[in-house]
Amino acid sequence: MRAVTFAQTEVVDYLHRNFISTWYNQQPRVYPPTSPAAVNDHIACGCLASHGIAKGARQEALRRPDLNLPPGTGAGNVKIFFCTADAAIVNYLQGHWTPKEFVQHADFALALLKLHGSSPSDREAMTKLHRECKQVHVEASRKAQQELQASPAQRKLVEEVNAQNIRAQCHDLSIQRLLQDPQSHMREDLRILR
Amino acid sequence: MNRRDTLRLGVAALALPTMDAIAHARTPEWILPVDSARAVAKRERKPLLIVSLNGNLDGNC
Repeated sequence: MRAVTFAQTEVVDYLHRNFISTWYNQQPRVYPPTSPAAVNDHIACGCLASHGIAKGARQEALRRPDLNLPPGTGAGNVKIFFCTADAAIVNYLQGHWTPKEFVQHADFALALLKLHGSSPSDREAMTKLHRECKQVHVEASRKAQQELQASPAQRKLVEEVNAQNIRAQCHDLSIQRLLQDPQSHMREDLRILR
Repeated sequence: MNRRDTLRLGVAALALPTMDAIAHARTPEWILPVDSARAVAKRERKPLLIVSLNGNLDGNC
């Protein structure tokens, strides 16, 4: 996120215009503030190995995960909460995504925010929008699975199925967490560590 | 393009941060600490974006 998405001028300008942005270290014990970057890299390379990323490709994947890893990889590493001004979740995204897709999700959050507070049934309207979008990804995943059955060796298709499933899952999680305070979800991993 | 222009281009290329330098640079100043961001969002009635990740945003995440 830092090296790619948040390093792009267009994305930074977009976020400046539309959001107040912040970040949170969800695992301060594993990644303490004083931890040298090399140590963080070492831990992250271990994670990439567990995901089956080849040794030669790990450093480059690590440098630009948003572009070099399959879309949505790293669900436990990156959790993104798009919230109202009062810190209530409207849209949730996990994993690494390209800057383009990140902005699409942010745009979707802005569309949801327009619904928020517009009527007593705003929660239902936001849920409906999430469900409709989820359905699009479920169908795209199904289509990619069918194509995969015809040509099982295509790695791109496997990634497409996974990415569509993650997108659908993000909508499910957004519905579950709709209008909740993100604090408890930001700390989930921390609790697991203890 | 004369020799001076070539030299300027060379200097400009050298001045560009490498991907490694970007990845290990400090957290961008436009990203606020969580508590401050919450307060500012509330005061300015602006949507809040929270990125929760492993590390300090001065690594690769």
